[in-house]
Amino acid sequence: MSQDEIGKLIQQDYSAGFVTEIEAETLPPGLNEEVITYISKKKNEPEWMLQWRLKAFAAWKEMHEPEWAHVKYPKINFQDISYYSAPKSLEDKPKSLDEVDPELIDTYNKLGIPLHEQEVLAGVAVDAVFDSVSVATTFREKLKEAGVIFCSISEAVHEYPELVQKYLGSVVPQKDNFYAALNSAVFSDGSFVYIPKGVRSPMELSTYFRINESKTGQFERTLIIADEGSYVSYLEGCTAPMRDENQLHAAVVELVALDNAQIKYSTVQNWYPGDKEGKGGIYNFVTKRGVANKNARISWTQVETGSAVTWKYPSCILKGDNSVGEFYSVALTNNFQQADTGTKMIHLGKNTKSTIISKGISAGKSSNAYRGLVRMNPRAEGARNFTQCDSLLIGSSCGAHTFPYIESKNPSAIIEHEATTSKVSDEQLHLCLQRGIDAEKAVSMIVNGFCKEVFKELPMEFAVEAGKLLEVSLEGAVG
Amino acid sequence: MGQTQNLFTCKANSICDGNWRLPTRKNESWRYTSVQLLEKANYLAQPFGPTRESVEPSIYTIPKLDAFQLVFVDGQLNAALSQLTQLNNEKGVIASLFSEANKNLQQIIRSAVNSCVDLSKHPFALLNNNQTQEGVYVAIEKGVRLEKPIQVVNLTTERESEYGVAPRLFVDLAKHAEATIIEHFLSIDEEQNAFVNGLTELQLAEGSRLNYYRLNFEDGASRHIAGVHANLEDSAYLNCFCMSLGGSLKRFDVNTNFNGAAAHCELNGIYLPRGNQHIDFHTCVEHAVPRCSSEQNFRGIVADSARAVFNGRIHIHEKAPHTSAHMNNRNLLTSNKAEVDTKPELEIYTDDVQCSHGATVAQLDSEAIAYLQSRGIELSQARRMLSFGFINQLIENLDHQAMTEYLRPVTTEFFK
Amino acid sequence: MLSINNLHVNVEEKPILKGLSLEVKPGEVHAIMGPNGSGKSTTGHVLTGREGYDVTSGGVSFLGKDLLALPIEERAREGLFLAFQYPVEIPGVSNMEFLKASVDALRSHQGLDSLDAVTFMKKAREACKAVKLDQAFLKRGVNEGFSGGEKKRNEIMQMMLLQPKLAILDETDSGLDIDALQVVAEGVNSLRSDDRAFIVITHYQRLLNYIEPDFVHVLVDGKVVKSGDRTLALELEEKGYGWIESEVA
Repeated sequence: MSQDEIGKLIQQDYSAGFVTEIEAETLPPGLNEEVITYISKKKNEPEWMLQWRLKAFAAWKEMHEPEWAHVKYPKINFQDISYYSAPKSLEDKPKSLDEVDPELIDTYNKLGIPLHEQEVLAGVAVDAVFDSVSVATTFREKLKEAGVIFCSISEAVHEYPELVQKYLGSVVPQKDNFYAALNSAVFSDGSFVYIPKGVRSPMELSTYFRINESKTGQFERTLIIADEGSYVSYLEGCTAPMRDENQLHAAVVELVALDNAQIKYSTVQNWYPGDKEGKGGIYNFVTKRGVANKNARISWTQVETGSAVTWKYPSCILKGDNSVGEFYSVALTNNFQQADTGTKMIHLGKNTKSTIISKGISAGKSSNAYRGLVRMNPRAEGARNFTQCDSLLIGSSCGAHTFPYIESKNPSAIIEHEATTSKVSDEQLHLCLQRGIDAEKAVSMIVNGFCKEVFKELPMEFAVEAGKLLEVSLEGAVG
Repeated sequence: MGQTQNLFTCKANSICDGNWRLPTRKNESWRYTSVQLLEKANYLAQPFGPTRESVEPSIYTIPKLDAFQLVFVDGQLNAALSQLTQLNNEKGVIASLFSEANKNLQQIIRSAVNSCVDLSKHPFALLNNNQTQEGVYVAIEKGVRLEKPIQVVNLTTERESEYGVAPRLFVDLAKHAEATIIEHFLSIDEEQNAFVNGLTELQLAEGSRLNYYRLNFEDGASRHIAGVHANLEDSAYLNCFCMSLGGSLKRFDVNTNFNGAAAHCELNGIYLPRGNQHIDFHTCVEHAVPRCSSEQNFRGIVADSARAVFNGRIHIHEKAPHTSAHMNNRNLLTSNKAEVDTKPELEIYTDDVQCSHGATVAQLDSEAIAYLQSRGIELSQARRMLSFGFINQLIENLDHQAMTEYLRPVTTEFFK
Repeated sequence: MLSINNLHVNVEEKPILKGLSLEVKPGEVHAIMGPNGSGKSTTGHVLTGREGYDVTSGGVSFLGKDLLALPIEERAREGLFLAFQYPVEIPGVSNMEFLKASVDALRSHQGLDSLDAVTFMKKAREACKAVKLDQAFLKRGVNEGFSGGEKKRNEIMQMMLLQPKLAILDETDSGLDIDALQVVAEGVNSLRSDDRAFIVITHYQRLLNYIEPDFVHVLVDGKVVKSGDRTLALELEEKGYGWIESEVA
């Protein structure tokens, strides 16, 4: 088998590509103050929330789309997108799962995310977000007993306004960047988590995002606050139907880890990547950032296999002394997918530590870039960073790029950066074949082996899913 | 002088149009180096008044290195101190000033200049085209091996008012030719008001080999922005070593274009900014064809309030299988006010490659210091020894023993 | 079992094998010896189906099948095993995971169910023990960071686990010290049986002190120029390849 043929083996259909036939209330495309006011009214928001949105919108109008990323796509017309879509059946907030439209429940079942508590993965509470609204959040009562708040952000605005007002935009300000400003103006739902002082969340929390309607964008907002000494592990998953058009997903995630707290945030991103000719797929333009206070730890783990274009840099501001930031990433691109992803580690406090492990896999005609920033500020005495950035290329028409920015202003800080590039070699394949293992299995084993360091950071259930996801995404890459 | 400009007339149109602007930090390749200070300086002024004639050769002479010396003072050749005629008389060598080229040679120079550099990407190369008053053209004929190195010395003095110099060098190696070129930049007055904007092009034909050394030792308030651009044809070999000390601002773009298969280049460099100095190295290796290899090693020690920038780029095109490209950048910071910004980039468009890069920023190894101290060595001396050792690893392996012996004491002196 | 008939093979358009013929029957051990560049390793590679080896004429039948028509993995599943001269590293893929995939693929070909994890582990540990390889190697990446000797023992360990019908050892002895050589030989000898055959490719006769061959073939310039029994190997050792080359010329 030749290297060229390897590329052909990575082809399989996107299994989450079905459309749920459901009556939805969808705003006509367009963006202006009225639309924002409509969204805010629809959610019955207090005046301060509306003003916050309008301020963001005013800022956004003055901003320009970022062009520095190593991705190419036609200019987005932001007036062609609908900024709100919700299933009609959710109009009157269902009180319990029994009242939720069975079509919706079925959608999540098909995706392997059962919402009925007796069926769900033990120990994982799920918030299911469908287009612009949250469908259901499971295990809320059980979490409440521990003092953990897990609900949609819309509910949090009503029920925990003081927490939302204090922290919303505290990590990613409205004007942070073009897409964050857009999100701040139009975000419709998302998850809210608060872990009280000293509490270890009794279960994994997770949000499952689903885009269903055509011509809509999804703009969710997630805010996680881990109070002093608390711990939470949070997972998110995302899928969308196969459509010929490109759809925009511009989310913002803010993490606040107060002193001695720990937040572990894992993502398995499997938005529709477009077809083999590069038609359709999600534009995934996401801002994720966390602030770690004294002795706190924030870990980002991501497995990115979907989306037509990914623009995403989950970052840590290591503000408190001895705080720790981690970024573990597997990004796989195939066909015409493009990814520009990485992280920023901003070391402000003394003895702060960060670790970056990035594994990029490119196949087909795709382009996969790691972009990262490690900054040691003058006060970051004794800070340390270790970065390992590896690329695996499958086939001779793909691209793998590494753009690390390293800035140090502290002589006692130590930064180590390493990057390598390799391919699935003929010798490796030959060895596997000679032992009777077929080519597809061999490539998937080699790729999984390449990603092992990252997969071991994922919660168990996700690690299995991630491995399978890679197999699916790689199907057809070998021939 | 007018003749030199004639060589460039059609190439520098955009400057003539008045479209040229200093790059700002919004330009990604000037992100960490601001040249806005030049805005205020009269950096385009030609040196006014007579050029100093008496210069002590010991300032620039490299002991134990028997070389053809071409000595320029503030951009003008000092013929008495130079051996241009001897070089030109050497068998298989053509060496001429741009301004003295005969008609035939003018034709050759005209088609050669700017063939190695992409002017659209290098604003200062464009500026050089507009400003240059003099240049050196050196060609080595097919199969000729020039044993004696050529040392091109550029000296700058303090003048009554600020001025700019735009030196130019074109080295043309024919098939299987071999040569060694040293570009040596020095300031001879303590106070400096020169802005040097150099442009060097190296054309290496099939199987040719070039050792290129660039020593930038100008001090004081001098500023130097320059480009070294090389084209390598089949199986050519370039060994490039840059060392940079002193001055208020130094910026070098070292670009290698592989145009022919199975060529190889080594790019090594040392930067030692201190005080308020700023040194920026941008390297780029364009692997556009199969089976080429490149190795880069850059090391710097950044002291006081100085700042160092390293941006190394390896670009492997789709049509460049069997490429091997490695880059390493190591930095030591020795002060709370010093800063280093490094960006080792890989851009790869094919899978059959062997690539790696590594970068580190740290301070001297405290265990090594403790070890030396335990043997009775004073802390300050231990630091000096280790700093020297860190740099010396690159100096020790130079192809010319005389260069190693010249640079070793320069480095030792530096750490005193 | 294996029948190589007048095989001609080119590598990058250059003829390497120029009419190789060889008959191997079950239970036999054949040694192929020859100077560097005589086509020894090519023989191993072309039998397993490695890319880049063009068969220009001749054929090979293995257990009644046209071996050259089968894809690489099918050959392995039919019971052909090659112990590589330079085993490649596969970072991150554990030996155990790799072997399980291999064993399962071979069993499925024979219509058998996959082994359960416990049984598999038991067999894998036994195989490790037999070649004096620490069990920790099962958890490490395939050949990742193994020493030369460990890589070779790992190959023999795999052979013991996979129980091939025909095993080809490609210069397994190169770079091994005497202890490791004995371990390898013991592994091979323990597998010797009436229904299994071996082809031992080697440059030196040293290995043959431990694995006694039934036949010795000398390969020069892509052809078997002399065949005999063990004594031929000893003679070669004494007189060197120059002797054969001059005799043939």
